[in-house]
Amino acid sequence: MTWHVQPELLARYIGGNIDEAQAFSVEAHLPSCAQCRGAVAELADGARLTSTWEGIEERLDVPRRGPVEAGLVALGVPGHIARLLGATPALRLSWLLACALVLAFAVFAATRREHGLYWFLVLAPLLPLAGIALAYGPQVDAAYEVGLAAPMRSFSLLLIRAVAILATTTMLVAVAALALPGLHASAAAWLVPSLGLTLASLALATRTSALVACGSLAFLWVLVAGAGWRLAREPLLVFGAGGQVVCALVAALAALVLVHNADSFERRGDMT
Amino acid sequence: MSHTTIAMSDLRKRYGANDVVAGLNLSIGPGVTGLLGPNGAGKTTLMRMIATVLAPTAGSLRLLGLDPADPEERTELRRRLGYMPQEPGFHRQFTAFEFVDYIAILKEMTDTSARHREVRRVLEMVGLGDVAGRRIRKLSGGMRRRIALAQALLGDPQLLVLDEPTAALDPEQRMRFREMASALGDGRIVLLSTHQTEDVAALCQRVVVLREGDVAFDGTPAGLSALAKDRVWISDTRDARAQLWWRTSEGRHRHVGDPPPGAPIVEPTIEDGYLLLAGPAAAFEEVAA
Repeated sequence: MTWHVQPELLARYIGGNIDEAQAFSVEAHLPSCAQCRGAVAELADGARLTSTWEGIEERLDVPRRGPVEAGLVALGVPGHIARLLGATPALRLSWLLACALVLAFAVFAATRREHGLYWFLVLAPLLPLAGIALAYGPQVDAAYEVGLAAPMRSFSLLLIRAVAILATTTMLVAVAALALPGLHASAAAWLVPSLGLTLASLALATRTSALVACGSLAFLWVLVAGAGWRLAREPLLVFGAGGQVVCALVAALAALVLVHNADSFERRGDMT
Repeated sequence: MSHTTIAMSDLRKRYGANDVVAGLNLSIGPGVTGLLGPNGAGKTTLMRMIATVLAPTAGSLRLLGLDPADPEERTELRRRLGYMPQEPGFHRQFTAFEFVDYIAILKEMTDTSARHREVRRVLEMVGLGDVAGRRIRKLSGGMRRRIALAQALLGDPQLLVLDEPTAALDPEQRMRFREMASALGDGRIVLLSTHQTEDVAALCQRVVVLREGDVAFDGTPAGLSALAKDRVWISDTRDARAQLWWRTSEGRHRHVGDPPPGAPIVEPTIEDGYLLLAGPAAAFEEVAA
């Protein structure tokens, strides 16, 4: 002999006005009783069923965020921006670990060598530059071509990624700088050159690929820093007040060029 | 000018001294239009210009009544465009769901639950609902191709540009694609390039054959077949006078060209018409495809 859920109890179950124990009892019964399942199907509100089903699909289908994406969301970055950044090679965990290792090596070298601070200051602006090179373009972004045809402007995508890269590498370098021997304000002298180089690389990327732009500027930076030391016999000359002003001017000029040529990122199928 | 067409006038794309697209004049309306042509004929270059990722060297191009050279109009156009490139790239560490979700974000779908609903819809459309959570690096070539198709369908675009959508699909998947593409052609412009003449015969209302960057044929699939009317014959031995020939699965020789008197003429297919038009290089590609 079998039993069936009373109509009054079934109505409360469908309306959601039922306590947990009774709901459990109904749900334990339904899989084995076609008649009661039929009654539920007849009485249930279609819209509510659809929304419940969508909720289940949302839980099942939507994958967990990766560590970079999850970290960004925890910091308050909107979910969709975090996903855009999660697809950026220069923001993957492996890249961030590589940056941390390079910085640890630079700090270690700074503690062992004369003019160690010089080497640290020359190296630090190269990290965001390398990050920008790996942030955007057909060589590093697998979905570049599809992205070009999407309504979100490529320039906006590049800027979002560049800001995230600049922020993360700045944090890493700042933490590394704290470990330098005899911490001094000059340990922050890389910040303006870094901003200048990053903006200059983006401005140059309006005319060529990000990889070429960043590679050329990295070479130029090492050349200028080395020449400054060799000619003036003063390793930190490039990082002095004059150098900072020049870098700030380069940053301002590059920002103007970048804004003026923003549309050049939009139909770059020739570069793929 | 109609807001539901692709319209081009003297459209050119030059690389160095070479005109890859050499002054095209075409107008394409709703329905499924197939683009055929041998490698290097300019199909992909034309598709990429229509997909707004490549700027023409000269000429005029208007898509859905909008000018892709104008930044504002181009953005508006991209909201109504779906594009599947010939060689779609993937973030292989993503799952199928995550990748399509990523493209949906680039397509300005910022509302999470509405976007996820749309991602599920397009993955179901291409038959990948069951593997949505699998990493792309673990999926087969055919499944990846269907992911590329799914992202093109996001947002129910008015203009679909599909570059070789059936490459790497097995026969059953190809049939499913044909059904889907036919349905999509109602009220939308679907432009697809392919090496598969059977696809064109099965689902295109119109076919354009490109050769050396210019239009060699523009008409219906039946019209393309008719080009080879009375010019296809079968014999037991190879006839050296034929423009093209190949051995059939029955071991006989099918010839296309000017038949000798009394040759047993057979009904031409769209493939015969295409090969006659495109020449021996296309015949080699047909065999390779």
